[in-house]
Amino acid sequence: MTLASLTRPWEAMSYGFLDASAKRELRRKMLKAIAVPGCQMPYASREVPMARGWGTGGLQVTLTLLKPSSVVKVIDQGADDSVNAASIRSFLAKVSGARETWDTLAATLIQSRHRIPEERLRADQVLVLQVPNPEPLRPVEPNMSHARQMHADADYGRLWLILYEEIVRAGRIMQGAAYPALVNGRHVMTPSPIPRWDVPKLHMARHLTFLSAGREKRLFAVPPFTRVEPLVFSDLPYRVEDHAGLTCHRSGMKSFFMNEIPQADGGSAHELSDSHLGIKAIRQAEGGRAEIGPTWYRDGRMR
Amino acid sequence: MFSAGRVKVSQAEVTSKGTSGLLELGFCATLGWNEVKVISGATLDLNAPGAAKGTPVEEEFFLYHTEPVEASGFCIHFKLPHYVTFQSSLDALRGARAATPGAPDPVPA
Repeated sequence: MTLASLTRPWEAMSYGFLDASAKRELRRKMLKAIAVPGCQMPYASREVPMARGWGTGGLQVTLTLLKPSSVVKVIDQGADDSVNAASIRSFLAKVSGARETWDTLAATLIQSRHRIPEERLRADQVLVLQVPNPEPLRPVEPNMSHARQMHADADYGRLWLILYEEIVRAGRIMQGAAYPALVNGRHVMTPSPIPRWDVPKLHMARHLTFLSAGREKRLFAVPPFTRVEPLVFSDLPYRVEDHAGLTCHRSGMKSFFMNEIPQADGGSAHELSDSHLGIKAIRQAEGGRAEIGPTWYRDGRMR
Repeated sequence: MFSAGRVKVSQAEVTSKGTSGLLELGFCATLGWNEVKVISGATLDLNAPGAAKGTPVEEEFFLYHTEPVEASGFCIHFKLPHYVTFQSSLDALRGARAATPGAPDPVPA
């Protein structure tokens, strides 16, 4: 036996950029994260050709999941065409041979910065969310070892307390995005900073969601058909952003999550945050062909 | 009138919901073109005053996380759009204001 028979020919780069041992470790951690929904799994976040804080955690999970038949969509704050989304998407396609798309319905793998598409995801789709801060307990316990112990003990009293204090001070819960949610009745997670509008989309969803923080080197998952319940008091219902009455000034779509665009006269116009949904609506209005899938929200209400 | 030369300066203004529950501003300026430093300086200005010992926004913890090379990407990522997260905070601020008439405007003029 020669050494050459045990090795593969030299290649400039591994398939999907990450080397095999990095992917192996990530796969093990991803399986573990699926097995314990919402529990943060540490991993050795590798270097990728992007600065930490720009979605390196999500990128590593996506690179591990990619295969030549994947169809990949990348979202940055709802948009497919922002610089960061476009460069991540072309990088993913370049290192894997996967097809690129903007269309939620066509994608098999969706990496997203802080939005879940408005169209309902299917069982054959995987969502990867980029996470800047994976620790829901950070506002109440900056010490990571203590926070870990609190997770182990399901000791979330202090998290409830800050929510209660906000109600006392401001009359409502002031948490904006990244609303803490209890996963599978056991672990509290911070659902990356997706808006409150998007958190109910994770509850008993058909698709698998990974949330990965590259800078903090931790990932966690919400498997299909898992309970995701935002922390709320029984007498104060969970409130999503008040966007049910808004209309997109470009596409005419109503009752979805919107970006607010300040106008010269001091007022504001609104525009769909899920940019490709808007594009499809405009195409349809112009008589073109564009299929819009079933949406999570109808008339501003979660279905 | 005379001119001694030109000096390039960079400055950054950042905003976030502060401890008062309103939007607050942080500011930093440096000589030269210095993105990471102005952004981390401005976030420090926003968060550090009055921060309790041991909290993540206290100066010591904060600099420990924003000074290293690894954090430069995190600092510069604040130049990326944050429409969604900001919209979500704004919604909570407006909701709280509507619930308590006479409360100060959450968005400073």
